[in-house]
Amino acid sequence: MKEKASIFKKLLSLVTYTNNNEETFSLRNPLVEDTKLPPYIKSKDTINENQPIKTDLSSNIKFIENSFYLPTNKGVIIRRFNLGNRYEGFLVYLDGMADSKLSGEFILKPLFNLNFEDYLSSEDLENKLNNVVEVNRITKANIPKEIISLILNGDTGIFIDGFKNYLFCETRGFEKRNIDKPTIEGSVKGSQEAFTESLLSNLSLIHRLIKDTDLIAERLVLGDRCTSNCAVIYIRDLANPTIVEEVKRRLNNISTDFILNSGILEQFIEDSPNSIIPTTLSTERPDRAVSHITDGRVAIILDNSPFAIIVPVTFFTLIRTTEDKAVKWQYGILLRLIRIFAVTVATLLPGLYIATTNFHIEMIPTALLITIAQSRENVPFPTVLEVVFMELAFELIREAGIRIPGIIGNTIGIVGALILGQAAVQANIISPILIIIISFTGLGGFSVPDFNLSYGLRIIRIIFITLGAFFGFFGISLGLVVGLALISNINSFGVPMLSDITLRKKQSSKLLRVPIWKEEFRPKEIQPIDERKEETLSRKWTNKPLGKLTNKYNKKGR
Amino acid sequence: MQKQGTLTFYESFAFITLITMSKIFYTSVTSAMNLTKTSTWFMTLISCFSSVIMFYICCKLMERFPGENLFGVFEGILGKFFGKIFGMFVCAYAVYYSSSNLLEFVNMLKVYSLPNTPPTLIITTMLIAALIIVYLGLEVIGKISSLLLIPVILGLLSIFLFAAPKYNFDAIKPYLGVGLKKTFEVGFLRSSAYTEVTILLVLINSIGGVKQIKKIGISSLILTGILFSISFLCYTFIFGYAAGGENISGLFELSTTIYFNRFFQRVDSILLFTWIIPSIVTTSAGIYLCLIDYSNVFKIKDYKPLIFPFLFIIFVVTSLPKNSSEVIEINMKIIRQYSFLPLYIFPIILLIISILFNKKGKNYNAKKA
Amino acid sequence: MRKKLSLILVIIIFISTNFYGCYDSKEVDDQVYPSLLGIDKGTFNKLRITIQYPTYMASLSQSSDASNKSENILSGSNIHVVESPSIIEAQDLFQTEISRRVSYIHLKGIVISEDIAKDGMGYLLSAMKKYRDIRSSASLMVSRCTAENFIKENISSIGSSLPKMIELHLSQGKKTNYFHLVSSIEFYRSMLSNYEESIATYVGVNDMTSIDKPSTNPNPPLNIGEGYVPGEIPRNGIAKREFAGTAVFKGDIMVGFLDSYETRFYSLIRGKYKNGFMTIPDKNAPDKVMVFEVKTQKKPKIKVITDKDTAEINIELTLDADLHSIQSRTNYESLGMINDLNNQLKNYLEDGIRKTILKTQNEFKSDIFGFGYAAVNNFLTIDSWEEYDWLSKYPKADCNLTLNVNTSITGVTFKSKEITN
Repeated sequence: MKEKASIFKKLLSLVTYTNNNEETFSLRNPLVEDTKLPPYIKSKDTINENQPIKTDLSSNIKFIENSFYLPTNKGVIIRRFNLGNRYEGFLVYLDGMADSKLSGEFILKPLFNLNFEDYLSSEDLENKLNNVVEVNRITKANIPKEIISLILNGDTGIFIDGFKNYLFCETRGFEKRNIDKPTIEGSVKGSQEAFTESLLSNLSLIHRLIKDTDLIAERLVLGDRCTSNCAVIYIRDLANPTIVEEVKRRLNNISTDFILNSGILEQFIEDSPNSIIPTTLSTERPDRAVSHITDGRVAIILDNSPFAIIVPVTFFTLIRTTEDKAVKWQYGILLRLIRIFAVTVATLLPGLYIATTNFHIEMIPTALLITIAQSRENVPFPTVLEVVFMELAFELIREAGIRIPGIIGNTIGIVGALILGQAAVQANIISPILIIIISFTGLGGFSVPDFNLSYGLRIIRIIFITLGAFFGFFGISLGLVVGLALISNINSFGVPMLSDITLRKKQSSKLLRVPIWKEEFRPKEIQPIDERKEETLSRKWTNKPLGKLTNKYNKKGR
Repeated sequence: MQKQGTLTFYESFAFITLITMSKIFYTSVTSAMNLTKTSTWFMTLISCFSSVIMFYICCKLMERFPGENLFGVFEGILGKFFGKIFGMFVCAYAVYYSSSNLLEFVNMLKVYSLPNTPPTLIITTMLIAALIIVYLGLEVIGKISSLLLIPVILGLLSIFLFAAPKYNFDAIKPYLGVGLKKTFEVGFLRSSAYTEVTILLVLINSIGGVKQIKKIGISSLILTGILFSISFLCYTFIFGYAAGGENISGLFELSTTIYFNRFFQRVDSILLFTWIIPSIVTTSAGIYLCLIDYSNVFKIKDYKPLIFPFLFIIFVVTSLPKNSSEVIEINMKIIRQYSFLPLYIFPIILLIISILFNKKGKNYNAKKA
Repeated sequence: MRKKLSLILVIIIFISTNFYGCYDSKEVDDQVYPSLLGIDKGTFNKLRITIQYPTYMASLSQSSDASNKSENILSGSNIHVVESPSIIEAQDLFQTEISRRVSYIHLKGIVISEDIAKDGMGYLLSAMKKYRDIRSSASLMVSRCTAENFIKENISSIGSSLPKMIELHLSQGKKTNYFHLVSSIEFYRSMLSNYEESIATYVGVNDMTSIDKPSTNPNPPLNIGEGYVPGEIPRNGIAKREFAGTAVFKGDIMVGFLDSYETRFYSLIRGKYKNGFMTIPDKNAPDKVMVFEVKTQKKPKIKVITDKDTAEINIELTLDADLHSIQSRTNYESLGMINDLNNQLKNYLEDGIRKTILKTQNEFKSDIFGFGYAAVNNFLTIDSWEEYDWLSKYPKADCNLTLNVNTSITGVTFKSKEITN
């Protein structure tokens, strides 16, 4: 696969003629075009032994000991047994991943209580054990890679001398966190559950909300050295199959040792790694993930990471929450307007302040101007330096607030900011108007629902401060136009980032809200298979005549 | 030819309207006022009307050569050699146009906003911004114009709305101004103010054919005509024809007169956004046009390596005029009063030649059949 | 490798030769912002320029002293005078004393002395129009005394903000119509136009000695309908400067002034009058007065019929009046007497308006009412209009005035009873 052009190569293309034929991924409408999907590389070939295991006991024990570096590594337990004095075998499981109670109660106990009167061949014994072991699921595996993977996932394997396959029983029972409240995405009217680290419980949260046979949860294994499981969730007859195939293609073609959490996974599969705006959505709320899945998007959940990655997204999807839909449409419009205002304030306010006070002094009302001049009278620093200083202080408080433990953390955040600002004003390091500007900016940044986007907005803010300090309003307009051009060039899995507002056809994922009973269509930019969500008349009760309110007990005589 | 990307109807409409509209913020208002005094507002409607007719005739020319853009038409009618020469002439005009626009912008910015900054710095910054936008391609230009059109129009109209308490509605009397005959003459000449619509003839393949071009061109001309007329009207209301013939930027001076109460005054810095943003898009569009023209004439696949040389050429041409008087009297006169000659009249002459000598495009009969 | 290095070198050289400073960036407190600018005739040079700007002495920290706020803020602003050949170069001449840059961008008012106005002040205005810093919204005032004197007496006695005081004071003109706020762009436009002539606010300094002793007159006269000129208003107060009346111009030369009452009649015709209190002599009791609040109901209708050399101006005004006080306690509110009341008011107003128009026609020969905008209806092209030259035909034009006055509200009471002894 060709590597995409680095920045240097792009600059070089301005000077010389380069042979740059990169194919970009483009979305195809499944209803119009042929569903011939481009060929992609199959999952990587197993570099280890692909041949089935040998059937004798000692070589298998050796295979397990070599693979897991026993006896140095004490994690894997091999428990040997002898059934009916005839069949020798062993049980293998990973301590801590497999629930030993399950293996003791439901595997060993029935095994030892077996009566072996007749002689059974290995195949018959395999089939008999299928009906003896009291677990919900038994998987047969005879390829070493599969065997190792199943052991690592917490299943218990039974092998008896002569067997062609291992019998893996489902005994996963590792400790995990309970389902808790969301930590960074709070809401008032939505549900109060959040994803946890266990993939199974996360999937269960989603399944509870979408009880549909078309909900597909494909499992993929990522990572070369240390594997982690990952689930790709989509609704089969809603999501555009080109998106699904592209997601799976990207996931299967990552070559790295270990993917620790979903943040790292995002960076591996995202479209424009050099863009400041994120092109994937990361959420810890199942209801938010489900609302996107039912729109036709694809969710990726990585084991051991309490976040779901949603693709593809547009810019305005990043600043929407499910809360907007849980309240009346008028309040929803108000909430969205406030959030758009917050995004504007978070990026532009300090830059505008510097541009106004340094270049366009005629724009400030005279009374305010005199006040600003009076308050700056004793301050020795220029405005730009004040702004930079306060920004740094705010960032420090924010970073420190994440790491300070417990109750102290919350109080230090608020008190620290106030006291720091107050003390700085008293010491004549900054002027009081700047405190208001910076706190407004900080609040605007916190109002953005997406965590990644708030980081992006911080960087954009710094760029605007620089532009405003050098060129005033001219610089800010330049920044706006060029920034808009760069953002509109970014695609997220084939969907342009600004297609909410550039797409002119009728669509229901508008910038602001429409009443919930008018949202007839799914977002058009992701081109789902089934576009219609609701009928035109979704509240059918409005058609039927109103029933009269009668109180039949109030008639005369009764 | 290389793949340019496609523009939808609204994107191309917004693109043409935005770059035609950006001239209203400069000396265009005042020069028109000096020529036709109080009848400026309907002189511009006459210009618009004559532009519509001439553009329609140009579209007829393109219909005879389906699938080809303006340069293909040149080569088809005049032969390869002369076609290339005229194509280069159009390219040179595009260079002149972009640098004149840039010069006017720099002048305005230096007068109103950044008086001490050396002009080379402003030119360089604008060219860098244009470089980034042109590098990203035509689709991005279309997208940003479609996003920015409505805020810019709203900003313009809100300036007129806020200045409304100061309007003196009698200032446009006498209604016929300098007389009907002179108004029509000047109107016809100044249809050069709308010649940006001929960009559509060059980009015809990205937009989808002659029918689309007709719709887009005529609707954007009508919208621009209405906006120009409203601007001239409001400008006359505030200043009258005597004091109105002096300002370097009519609309900016108009916005300085806005005064509601102690707090809501001096809002002209907000107008700064409204005219800087279309100017940046116009500069990028002008440079893109030069590059496309050149690549079309010499059949170059990829215009990206040409960006730097053309930026340098534009920088040099921008440094040519010595002072702002030269810009206003020479450059702007040529562009705003006489540019209809190469861009409207010349295709009409070509149409006549093609009808006389029966030259048609390769796909003409196929399309007809 | 070489390509990379050369590209980096080119970029570094490019940046270091161009982007090495922010040229136009200025800090807010590096400048002072005068609110008033005064222009007089100078001794050593053509012009004597006076500026008044607010200072930054009061430090605005959380522990601001309450005692500062109650002081009379004479020390809140500084006044500087310099003689210079032009207004704009005066900015640089002030730098010889003032430690910060003087910037005209927040100028609220420009005061020009009468001497300069009488010689023609067009040349000053073209300088102001071209210079971007002096905004076109600054008000223009003509001062009876020297501008320097006026500015020196300009103190703020209620609040500490000088620019706020100036702006508020100038906007009081809309409420009383004793004087008008004229911005320099309006003046400039009228100066260049051939439809009307320009006016400016008339200001002056009152030495406040006329009524500093108690009255010794046993029968003070009833002075109604006599307007005041700045400098001669019988009053005593804190600040000596005052605003009253209008300076009338022909072209750019001042030809006279209207006093405060005449300014009211001017604004009635111009359509700028909103409301104001008028005191009228009572026909039945010559010693007593009635007080009305006169409001305009509709915009004045002005029609001008032009002939070759003459013109006829027809003005129709519709006014509404609220009756606020009747000193003679005559029962004017009754249905029989209300017409009489209306007629009294009407005669008083007609008299005043006619006198004002005649004054502008005979004495000033200048059309400040903007009748040209109505006269232009008779012409279709600018050439014929300019040939006609309305401004020279105005002094001989005939004027017909139709006034409709209606007293609709008669106050809290509708009957006045006799006082019993």
